Amino acid sequence: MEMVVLILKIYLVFTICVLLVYSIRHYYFTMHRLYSEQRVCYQDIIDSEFRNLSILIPMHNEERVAGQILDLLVSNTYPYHNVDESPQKILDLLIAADYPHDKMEIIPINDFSSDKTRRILDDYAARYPFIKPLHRYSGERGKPAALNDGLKKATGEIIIVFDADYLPPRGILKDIAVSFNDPEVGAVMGRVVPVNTRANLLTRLLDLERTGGYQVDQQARYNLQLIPQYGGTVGGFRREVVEAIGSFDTKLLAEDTDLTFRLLLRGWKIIYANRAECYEEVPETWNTRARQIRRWSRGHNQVMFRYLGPLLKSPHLTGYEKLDGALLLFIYSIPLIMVCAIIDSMALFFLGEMQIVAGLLPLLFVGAYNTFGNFAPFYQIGVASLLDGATRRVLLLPMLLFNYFFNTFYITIGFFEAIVDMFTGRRTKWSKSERFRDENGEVPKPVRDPHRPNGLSNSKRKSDDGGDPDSNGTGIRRE
Amino acid sequence: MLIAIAALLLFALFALPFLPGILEWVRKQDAEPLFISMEYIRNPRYFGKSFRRILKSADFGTGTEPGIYTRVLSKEEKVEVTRCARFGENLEIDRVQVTIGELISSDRVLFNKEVYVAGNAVIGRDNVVHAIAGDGDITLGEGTKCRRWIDAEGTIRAGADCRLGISASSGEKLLLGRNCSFRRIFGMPILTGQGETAAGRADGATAPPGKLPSKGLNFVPVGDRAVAPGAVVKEDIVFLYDVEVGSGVRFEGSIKAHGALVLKDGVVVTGNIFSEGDIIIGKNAAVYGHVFSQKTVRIAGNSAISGPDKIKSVVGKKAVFLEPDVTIYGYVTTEGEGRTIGAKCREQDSPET
Repeated sequence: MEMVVLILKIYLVFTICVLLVYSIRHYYFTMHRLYSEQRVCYQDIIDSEFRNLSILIPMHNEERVAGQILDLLVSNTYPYHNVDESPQKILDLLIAADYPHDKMEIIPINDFSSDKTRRILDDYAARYPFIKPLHRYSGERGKPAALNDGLKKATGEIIIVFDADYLPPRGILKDIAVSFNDPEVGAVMGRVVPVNTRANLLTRLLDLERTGGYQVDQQARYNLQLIPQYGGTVGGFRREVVEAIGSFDTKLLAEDTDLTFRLLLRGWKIIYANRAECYEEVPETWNTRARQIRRWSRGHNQVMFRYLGPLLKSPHLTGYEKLDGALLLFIYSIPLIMVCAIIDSMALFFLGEMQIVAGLLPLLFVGAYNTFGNFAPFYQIGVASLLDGATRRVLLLPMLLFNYFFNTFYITIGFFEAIVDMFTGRRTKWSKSERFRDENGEVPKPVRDPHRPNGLSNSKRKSDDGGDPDSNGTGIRRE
Repeated sequence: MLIAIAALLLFALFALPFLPGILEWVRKQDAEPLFISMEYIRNPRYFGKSFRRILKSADFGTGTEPGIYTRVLSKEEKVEVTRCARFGENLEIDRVQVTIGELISSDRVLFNKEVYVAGNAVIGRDNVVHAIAGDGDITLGEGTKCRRWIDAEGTIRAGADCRLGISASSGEKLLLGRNCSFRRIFGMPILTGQGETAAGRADGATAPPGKLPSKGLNFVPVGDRAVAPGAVVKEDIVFLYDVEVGSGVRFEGSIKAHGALVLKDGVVVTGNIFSEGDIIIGKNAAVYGHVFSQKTVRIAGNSAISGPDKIKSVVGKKAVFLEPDVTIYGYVTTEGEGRTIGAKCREQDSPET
């Protein structure tokens, strides 16, 4: 019995150490984002040369949204043929639009759709020669398999991936592509911003989570030259590199995290581009969210089991990168560790063995952790909202408690599924998130809020920065 | 009854922290998506283009009769329209100026509002200009200070000791005298000169023609701290430390340095240069692509960045220093200090000081 109690106590101390490490990580990233020097992003580069892009959009029964993303991508481009080659003309065209047609191809991948997706894509292909749909009705289903087939068809040097529900703004292709001028960059990740925040409490809480994750967490990792994560959409990678490392593993559900670590282990860097922002639709029902977070957890933990060892042994990564990478890999294991710790502490309590350490110092330590440590993620999200100029939405922070319990439950299930996957080698089945946008409805059009401190989602993006000629229409600003 | 009150109290205590959130959830005061400008694209001539558009929408153009008008631009402004404008010494101008012909100012004139000139503009010494857009050439006299921005469809000539505000952009050449300071400049090309203005100089050097670097698989990470003079490197290369590249080395690809990068005289790079540290480019060097540093960029005389048919960027987060006779086709930007410096002052003007 004594041995059992000892193990229970050691586990509790272990949990406290893990939580302490993650608390320090949250605070360090947040403080760094607030007060330290920010690295300049590659999107400051202006270039008149364009790399060949292939834009892959996996679609499974996307009749509600397929037309909208294609419309946005088409209207973002301009015909480059028959253009005078003078620099002035090139500049004017650069300013007027985003990316030349003959330097890009859009490959919507119809993945076993049974609705009108196929017809919509064929209709677009008939109108625009650079839209080249890929219809898949045989072979494996799911995003990784669809991307692999898309890669075979793609001819572009750079692959950019969007999910079908995304609403790419006019300049995003150039913002993503420009980062590949750095010869060390293997993949680029942009920022995802929920568009359907007004729908209900869940969408508002997910909006807060996204804000903290991108505005603070990803940006801090970019600043600190750690490991920003490629998120599988609103991002791009070098085609030849990914083909050379074997494309996407269809057994994994988190093909994005898998790609992140495969690139890192071969010496490539991942860049986060906070300015490359794009709207997405977040789940509006708890069921859809449960399936999504469970899938993420399962996929992420599959990647952790596969890459933790190679990560720690990699000659291409610094010690800090290895530490950050390991903490990133473990992130979907924490809820399980917490659940076990709660059960552990209850057991110790009923065994009358809760007294682990005695004295004032540990008491103060526990008190300090309760005061600061528990609130680290909330603090990070609050600061991210502040940086985004959003103020009142931080009042919802306490309600993230509900998300916490919800996520803990489904992430834990996902973790066990990943363990079963590892031991049985079973194939995973991809399940797509449900879309909520109305087929005939308007794409939501967010407006600048004049009452916010900056009214913008990126604090660096002011009309001062030499861009955005149409957003406020004024060139006159007073000192 | 007591139990009911206690239960109610317990519920109230539990709900209290959530109350502000519940109110915000119900009222939806901050429920809109974060703003993304769907039309956003980078434009180095944003200010001038935008100001011209505002004037056009307020019905100002070359056909406007001279006079003083009160119109709403971004706010209500008094606008003075003139055929040609000449301003004597020490004047202070408090109206937006729209000049259909030429504008000439003497020394020490203070323009507190924006200026638009359809013809050429010649600004005297030690003027202060809030902002100026010109459809012809703009010449800035020695010591002139721009508070906000300058944009010309033609050539901009900036004399010595000018301060070019947040942005100076030109549809043609941008000629910078010695000791000019800037944040963002754009020109095809940008030329730095020793004299009061760099006018009259030839177009300067041109970077060699090359292909768009498109290496995918074969960058070479190296730990070497020096590259021998005269070498030819035919791959994209990543230096893991500070590195000094000897004279005359030719890189047929792009360079990434995790530390500082010093390119000695006559180095040629057909791709881009990226560095986490300072980038120092020696004399007679030619870079076909972008120059991007998280710290300071310093470019010595007779060096060229890009060529006449390409727009490339020089980005130095903390500072950009340009010595005389530098030619850059495209865009230069810094969050810190941008300045043209004299070659003779290389030591005391070095980025470290």
